[in-house]
This record gives sequence, C-alpha cells and structure tokens, in this order.
Amino acid sequence: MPIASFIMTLDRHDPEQIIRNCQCDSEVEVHGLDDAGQAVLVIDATSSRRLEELATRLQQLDGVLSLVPVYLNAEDEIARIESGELRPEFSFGRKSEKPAPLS
Amino acid sequence: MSLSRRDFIKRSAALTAASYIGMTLPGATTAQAAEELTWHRGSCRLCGVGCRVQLGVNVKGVAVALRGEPKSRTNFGYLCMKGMMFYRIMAHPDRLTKPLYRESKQQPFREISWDEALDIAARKFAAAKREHGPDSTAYYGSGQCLTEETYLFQKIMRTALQTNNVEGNPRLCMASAVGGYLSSFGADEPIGSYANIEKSSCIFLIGSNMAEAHPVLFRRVMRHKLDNRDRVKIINADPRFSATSRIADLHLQFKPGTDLALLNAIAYTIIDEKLFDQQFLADYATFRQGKAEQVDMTAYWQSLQDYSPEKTAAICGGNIDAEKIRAAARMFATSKGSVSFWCMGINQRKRGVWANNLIHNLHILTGQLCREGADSFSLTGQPNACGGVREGGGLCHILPGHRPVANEKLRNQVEDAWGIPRGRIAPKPGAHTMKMFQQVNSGAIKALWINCTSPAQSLPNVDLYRQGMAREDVFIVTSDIFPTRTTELSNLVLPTAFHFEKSGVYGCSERRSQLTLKAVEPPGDARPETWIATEWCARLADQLQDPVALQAVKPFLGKEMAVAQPQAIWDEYTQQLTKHRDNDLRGATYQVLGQMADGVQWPAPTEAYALTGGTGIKFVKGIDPLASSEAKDDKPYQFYGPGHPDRKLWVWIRPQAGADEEPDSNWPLYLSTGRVIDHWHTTSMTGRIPELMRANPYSFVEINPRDARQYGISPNDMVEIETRRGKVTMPAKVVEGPIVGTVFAYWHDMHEDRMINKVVKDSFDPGSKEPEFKICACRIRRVSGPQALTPFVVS
Repeated sequence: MPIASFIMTLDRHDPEQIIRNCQCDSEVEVHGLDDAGQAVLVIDATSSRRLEELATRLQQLDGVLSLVPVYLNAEDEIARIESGELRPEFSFGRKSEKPAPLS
Repeated sequence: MSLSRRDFIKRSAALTAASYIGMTLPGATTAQAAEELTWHRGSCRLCGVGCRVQLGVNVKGVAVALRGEPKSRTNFGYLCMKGMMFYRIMAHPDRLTKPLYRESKQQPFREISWDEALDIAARKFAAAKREHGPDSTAYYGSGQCLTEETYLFQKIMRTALQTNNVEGNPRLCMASAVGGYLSSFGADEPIGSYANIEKSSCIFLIGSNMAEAHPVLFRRVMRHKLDNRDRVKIINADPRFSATSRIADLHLQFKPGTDLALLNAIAYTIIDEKLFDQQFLADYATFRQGKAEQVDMTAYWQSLQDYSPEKTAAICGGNIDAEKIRAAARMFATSKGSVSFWCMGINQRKRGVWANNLIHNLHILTGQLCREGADSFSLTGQPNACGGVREGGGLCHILPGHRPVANEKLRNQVEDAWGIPRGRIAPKPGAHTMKMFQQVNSGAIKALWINCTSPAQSLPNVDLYRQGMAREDVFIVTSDIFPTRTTELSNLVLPTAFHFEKSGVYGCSERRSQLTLKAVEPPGDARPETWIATEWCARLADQLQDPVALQAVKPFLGKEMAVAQPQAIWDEYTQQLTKHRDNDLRGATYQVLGQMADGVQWPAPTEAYALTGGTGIKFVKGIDPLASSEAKDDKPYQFYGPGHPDRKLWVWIRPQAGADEEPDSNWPLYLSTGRVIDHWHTTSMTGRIPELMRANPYSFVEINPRDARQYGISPNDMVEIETRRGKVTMPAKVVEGPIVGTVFAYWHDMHEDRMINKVVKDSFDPGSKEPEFKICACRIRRVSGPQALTPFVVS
C-alpha cells in the first residue's frame, strides 16, 4: 500500500535517541541522519489511514521539530479505487437535487 | 505488487528525500530505473506558495505518485501533507463528469450534452444582455483558475457582453495587499522573492499563521532560524498564539483591531531612536496623507505622537508593553536585512490597505527594501491570485497588464490588441465582489458565471447572499470539479478538468509564473475551462448576432484543447498585453517555461533573459531590466511602477482604526476566523482526502481558558457562537491560543451548523473592497457537553 518518504528535522541534543524512538514501528525505516539534524524516513504502510497515524505519531515525538513529506506512491490504493474495490471515505456520491434550506 | 517492486519504490522514496538534503545513499540507478512511472513537472494546487511537484503517471495513464521538484527555488523539493495528497482527488468518485441542468432551482438536475449546456448558457447570457443591459451579466472567478482561463473569461465579458462585471475570490483575500503595494510602492506585488528568507537577519510575521497556511515556506523560515539561532530574530505579531508563534523570539499579542497603532508605534520608535535611513528617505521617499497630499517628515512625525510606545501599549493590551515595542523596532531597524510577511490577518480588515501601508512604512523608513534579505512581502492564499487575477485582468477595475479600466489610453491599448473597435470596452469599472452579490440579491444581475470557487460558502454573512443566489430570476452557471454549496444554488453545472488534466500557467506570490502541462485525461466529459469559454462565446456571438463578440475567441476557436489552445491564449496575453508593462512576461513563453524547473519571475521581457529565471528583485539596476530601460536618473533604484508619477516610495500617515464592529455589553467577545494546516478553503477538495479530513473532521472554536472558565465551557463542549447575523454551533477547543476576550473559529467546514461565514460581518475596506473577515463581535454559550459529529462535504 502507500509508500512515502519524509525529511525529519530533529532537535540536535540527542538525535540518535529520537531516531531509536522513530524505529519502534517496523513500518518506519530511517535511511540516514546528517549533521544538521535532518533524517530521511520511509514509511511503508498497510493503508493510507495507517500512514497518517504513523506520520502523526512521529510528529509528536519529543525532539521532532518537523516532518516534511517529499514523496508518495499510492499506486496500489489508486488501482483499487479505480477498480471499485476500494471506496474513499468521505465520498458520498452525487445527489444534489435541491438547494440546501437556508437558516 | 511483488516484494521486489515495493523494495524498489521504497528505495526510490528514500533516494528522493536524501537528494533534497544532499545526503548520499547507495543504489540510485537501480531503484530509479525500476519505477516505471513517467514524471510530469507542474505546480502544487493548494496554496499560493507555488511549490513545484512532479506527478508520477503509470503506463495506464493514471496518476499514482507525487514528489517534490528538487530544482525549484520555491520549495526545493519539500511538500506539505495537503500538497502531497492533492492528486488523489483526481480519481475521486465525487468528480463532476457530465453537464447538469435544471430550469428551476427547485428541480433536480438532469444530465445534458455539452452542446445543450453551452447553448443554454449562451441563450441565458444573451437574453440578460438584450433585456436588462450588459451589467446584468457577471463573471466571478478564482485565484485557482489558470491565467489563460481568467484572461479569456474577462476578455469575453468585456468584449462580447460589454461589462466590467469581472471579479474573483482574490477580492476576499488579497485586494488590500494590492491597494497597499500600489499606494506605497506605486506598483503591485512584492519587490523581492522568497530567497530573501535565507539572507535575512530579522523576520517580522504579522497577521499570518504561516506554519499552517504556508507550511513549506514556514519550513524555510524555521530552518533559517535553526541554523542561525542567535543571529536571526523572529518577531510574530498576532492576537492569537499560533503554531507560527512557537519559533518567535518576540511574540506581540495585541487586542484585535489595534494593529495599526502597533505598527505606528514601531515607526515612532524608529524615528525617536534615529534608526531610520536618512539617505534612503532623501533619495527615494515622500510622505503622504489623505488622498495622497504630500507632507514633510515633520508632519509625519507629528502624526505619530499619539503612538508613543507607552500610549500604544495601553491601546493594544494583551502582552504588549512599551519595551516590547521598542525591542521589536530595534530588531527590525538594525538588522542587516528585515523581511516582513503577512497574510489575511492584515488584508481582511476594514482598514486593510492602511495596515499594508504601515508595514511598508517600516521598510521605507529603514531602507529595508531592494536588497538581499530585505523585503515587505504579502503572502497569497491561492496558487494564481497573483498571476491570473491581479495580472490577467480578473478584477472589475483592471484590465490585463495592471491597466486601470477607467484610463482611456490604456483601455484603447487593450482594444487595439484585441482587434475590437475603440470604445467597445465599457469605461466604468464593474461591480466589486460584495457589490456584485448585492446586485444578485436585488435581482439587478440576471446571469452569473461562477468558476472554480464557492461564494455560497466563502462570502461573509453568507446566508444573506445565498438568498440572492437562490432567486429563480438569477441564472447561475457554475463550472467546477466537485459539488459545492454553490452548485446547490446553480441552474447549470459544468464539469471541468482538474490540475494536470489541462495545461496552463500559475503565477505565485513571488511574481513567478510556472507552467503545468496536461499529464492525465480528465474523467468522463469534464473539459478545460478554456475550451468551455471559447465554445460558449462562439454561441453567445451567434445569439447576439454580434461579430465583435466573436472576436474575443476567434484566435482560439478550433485549436487542440490540451495545449495549443491555452498556449495561444497565453501568447496573446503575454506578447500583446504585458509588453512594456511592469509585469512584462514576453520572455516567458511556453517553450521557456517548459524548460524551467521553477518558472520565471517577471519582469522578463525577452526569452534569453527569462531563461535566467527572471527578476528576483524589482527596481534595482543590474538586476531588473526595466530598472535600466526605465531609468530617469543615475540612482541604483528606479521605482518605475505605474502608480506613482513622482517615482518615489510613499510613507503614509494612517491613524489607528479599529474594527467595523467592536464588542459591547451585548456582544462582549471578538470573533476571528482562520485556517488549519490540513484543510484548504471550503474543503471541497481536502474534505475528500480521508487523511486530511480525519485530522480535522470539523470546525472547532478556540477559546482561551480564562474565557472558558467564565462561560462554564470545558474542552469539546458544544458552543453556540452568535453574532448580529446568526448562530453556528461547534465543539470547543480550550487553548492558550486566542487572546483573552477573543474566540477563533476555523472557516473550512461546509456543514450548515458550523459554517462560520454565516455569522461573519460583511463590512469591507472602502479602498480595496475586501471584507473584514477577521474581526466582528459575538457572544458564546455552552449548548451541551461533547457530541458525536459527522464530517460533511456537499455531494
């Protein structure tokens, strides 16, 4: 399902510990950390909902200053949407027939 | 998907990210070769920053991936969650795919053919013109339309229908910035570029929650601060402590509506402590009051006597004291380079133009302009408010190329370029947005085309104007990609192609024009607006039996709609209408834009110059080609803008002016509104992206803990917000965000119970005509404890 990469900016006090905290979940891979406190993360999630949960959790970790997405590949999910197998949430289908009553 | 393919994609994702920060990871060639995607360069769709992206399209022609464009000087490859997700609405099942029509707004829609739809639209607009005159017709567009679309629609309205009733939603968000730039600098749009962020030593953020509204730009600010913790100072002035405030060295929290006093007080300190640039003022500035009466610096200083730091601290309240004002003034004036950024908090005010003037004053007084690291920069909310609407003639008072419609000479230039008789374009400006919808209410406007925007949700005091839009004698066409609150009030709904499903140019906040070419097919019968407008106008000319009307689209008729047609429109606009204007874009041809990763900044009069990227800083000889060609003396800066005959910057005397509606005993609180990071505007798009909708499924009202205690409100309680215009109800977020005495609500939610624009006041700036969304008076009460709510989008 969706694969996304991010650049994470870390507090420089103890970046290695922050990285260890990021890797608590097997769906999160850390591919490198530079001297400016920037890390490359890849999330390989089971669903878009899971991707969102993981990204939210990472952003909330102590010492994480920002988590910026740069790449998203959702080809599996989009193929399922196209085939009708998967329907996005918050999709209601067109049914506008009447103007909404005015309050 | 095989395991190996997932591994390749993961590797590619990692390499992409690593390349943006200069990190080396092994294995690049193998992973990139395995992707099997074609990458198409274009712009992001969801704010005014102008981030460049690459859309990944698979062999079936389906968009399945997105990544940032690393060569872009706007975002350097970085994206935000909104930007990364936007392409996913392309295949959304809610997309409009067939023209829909109903004679009466009480009837259900029925699907019709394009032929039938265009005939109906032509017949209705022609009938309105014949029976009620040209000004009974109107066009209301958007800062999300491509420049080619805005340009073509305004050309049709002015040429075929002979009305200047041409407006767009940028009137609601940046008209005060236009007024400010024109009256202070003599020319619209910022002098500098985003590149000043990394060269600045002081960044002044006022009336902007950049962290949520322009997150990629905010990342640049944050990165600059982190890399230069001691050298770079950040000042944030805002009645609300927002995500942006967290990086500030100094947060100035003031009572809503006292921003003009605060800005005057900073100017007072700059003069009082002799921190101004005497030579810059002598060379480049004059002082003005009223309607541009020239005064001297002594008169200006005299006008500031009501704004000593001590007096102003008493006006502003909040955490403001005299020393904070002085500290801000010193940081700003003594830094090697100061950049100001602002957005709706300044523009959406009853005196938004004045507030803009007072920010510009600080830069003129200190000479913090026209050099690296120094600029006075109004951020823009939409991707093409600048390029399309401000530059392309998308407002009722301006023709393409920053030409006031009331100026006969400039009007004649446009008529000549279009090959229509002189006198064809009406000399009187049309109805600005609020007046336009007042005229819809009165029935004076009989036929209205709304393109790519939803005024039935985005106008202030919106229920009042929805009543007019619901009138049976007002024919409304809406062209859009999804159902909205506005399609609900329309007779004819036309399905349009989305971004990357058509070709055209966006011009972002920093005068940068960027091309996005068609990469995927639109769904169903959705079509590009340029094709729709062209075909409509041809039928309109037939209905009107007016060959001049046909002239509006004659050069574009029959052209291939994906690229050739928008390219022909762009060529006409840039080559004929920007020639020798301050936004000269003649060098920014499709061929040049196609070569540039991040487009071209105007002025760019030749292709050779445009291929260098264009003009990063206006008015500077050696950087801006017009500064040399338009030079009148040997000074290094040449302020050649069309608005100031004296070619000077104007320092304005502008007194403090509060909100149009201040709290009183019956309405004791301020109500302010704004944005959250996960959503954009009316949520017609972001509301259909589950990841974004789940993050912020409905509006909240932020209440300061002290106010919450006073009103007996706990977190997540349902709270009624009542103003003189009505009531809405939404959950409470009790947070040390808004200043005591102010509540702050998110404006995106389109649910009837939570649509905050139903209660916002529709007063507007007398100069810019931009409404004061940001401040009105309200009262609140706890309705109940927490309730389960359902996210909502119109479908």
